[in-house]
Amino acid sequence: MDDFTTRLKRAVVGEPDTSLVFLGNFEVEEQWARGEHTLPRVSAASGSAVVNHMDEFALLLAGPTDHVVLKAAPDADHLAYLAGLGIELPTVHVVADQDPLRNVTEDALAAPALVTTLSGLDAHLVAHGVSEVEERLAAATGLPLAAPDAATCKTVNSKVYSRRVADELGLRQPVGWACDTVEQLERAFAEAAPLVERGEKVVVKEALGVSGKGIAVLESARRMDRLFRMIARSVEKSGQPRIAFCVENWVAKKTDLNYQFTVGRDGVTHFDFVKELFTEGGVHKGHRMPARLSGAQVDELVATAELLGKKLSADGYFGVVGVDAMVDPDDGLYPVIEINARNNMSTYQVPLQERFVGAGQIALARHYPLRLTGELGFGTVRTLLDGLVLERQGGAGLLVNNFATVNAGARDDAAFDGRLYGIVVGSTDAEIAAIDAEITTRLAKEDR
Amino acid sequence: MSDTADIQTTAPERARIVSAITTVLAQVLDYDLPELTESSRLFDELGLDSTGVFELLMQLEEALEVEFDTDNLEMAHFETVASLADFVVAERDA
Repeated sequence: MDDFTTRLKRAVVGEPDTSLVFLGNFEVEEQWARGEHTLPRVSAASGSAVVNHMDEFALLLAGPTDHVVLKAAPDADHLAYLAGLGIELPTVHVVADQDPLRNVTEDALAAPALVTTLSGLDAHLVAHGVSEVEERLAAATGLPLAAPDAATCKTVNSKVYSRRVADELGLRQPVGWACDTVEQLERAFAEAAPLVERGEKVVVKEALGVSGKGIAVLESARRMDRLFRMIARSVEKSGQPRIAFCVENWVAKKTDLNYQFTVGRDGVTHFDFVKELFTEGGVHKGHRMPARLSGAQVDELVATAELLGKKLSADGYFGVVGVDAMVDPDDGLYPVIEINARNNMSTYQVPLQERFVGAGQIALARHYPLRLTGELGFGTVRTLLDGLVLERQGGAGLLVNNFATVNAGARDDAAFDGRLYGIVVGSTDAEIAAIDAEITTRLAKEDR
Repeated sequence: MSDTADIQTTAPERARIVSAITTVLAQVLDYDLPELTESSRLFDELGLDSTGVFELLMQLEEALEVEFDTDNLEMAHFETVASLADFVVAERDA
């Protein structure tokens, strides 16, 4: 069977031998949400720097005939480590003047020499998700986008779209309301009021919020009333009447799931994987692969993917689709909590999973938070984690799949937060837990 | 404490606001916080995140019986306990 990157090429271009130029523009939702009404929010500059350097994940999705645009040159020791594992890396193009607050596409647009270089390639452009910024880069470079237009991508990534599609297809989802006017929101809150009165929680989600952000959990009628007035006032002041929020009953769950399928230009849907969100003490730590599900549960997700793929294709979308789903306490599924018709964090793990998580092995993809006072090199980390790093196919240990996020927030004058992303491969959950715990302990010694 | 805050609010009132902020932070962040001072940094030091901001504002409004204009929130307002207290004072007097 073709590997994932080849299948991706077949799906989005139609040619498995084509070259792609990858852009890891994580949190593309921020672009889609421009001009939309949001929940009260502030954003931290240091957090943006780390998110923008998640662009380096694209390095491991691309094949040797592909290209990747990055904000910063990868750590040479990290590249040597990856090459030592037998990974054939793509051609890397680094932007001239990266700005920590810009994503990789915005940086590329501001780099004329890079735009010229890209213009000379015989390749298609692919992105984490397509917004107007990626359309501008496609226009500037003359590279065709191997994706639907930004307007289509924005539409099908809205949680309002997701709720309405699930209703249309008869898929189970928590009780809720999709709202695109203030009047609908007012009605939704009125209908949700009995839920909070009997002690249940209601969650309000921005339709174009980044997963896990742009949500407010409401436990009282007073808070619902206050949030409604905030949004209504914002609408009144802006003169922009259209809103996009979902209001949902906060339901009990046993496990969160993330599954992915790919929709071809021809409408054919291919189910890629399902992973389980891994939590410890109630804290989300990463993804466990494979998910611990029954055959019937997997079949239900595959059938759901088929239905969603048809619908998305009919609405003009093709490409990667990630879906968040949940298992309820009685093992029933909520097969669609949210459609993310773009790459997901777990998309970038697939080529590594195909090569390094063998039959009978399992893996935990996660990040380790770091607090640093100076830049940390991959060589230092590898020494620090001696004996815990994955060294070969079939082995066990940590495979670092993004190192740019470690030093992304580096500042001369103060300590900064970084993230070390990796996949811990092992044969049993106990083995993975032991490696994971030892990595955490050793990295804590490096925290300064 | 900023000069502006000195002018606009009395010391006991300022203390009441700071006390409300520290109480609400403990509830929102839901872990055993270190002893807070006005220079404690909410995001960098205490781990407040963008989702926690909404909850923090709601609880502060209820504790202090004020309503904030949430359209123009700035990161600078949430930098430290002191900057948040300045924001509360400015909003209360608006």
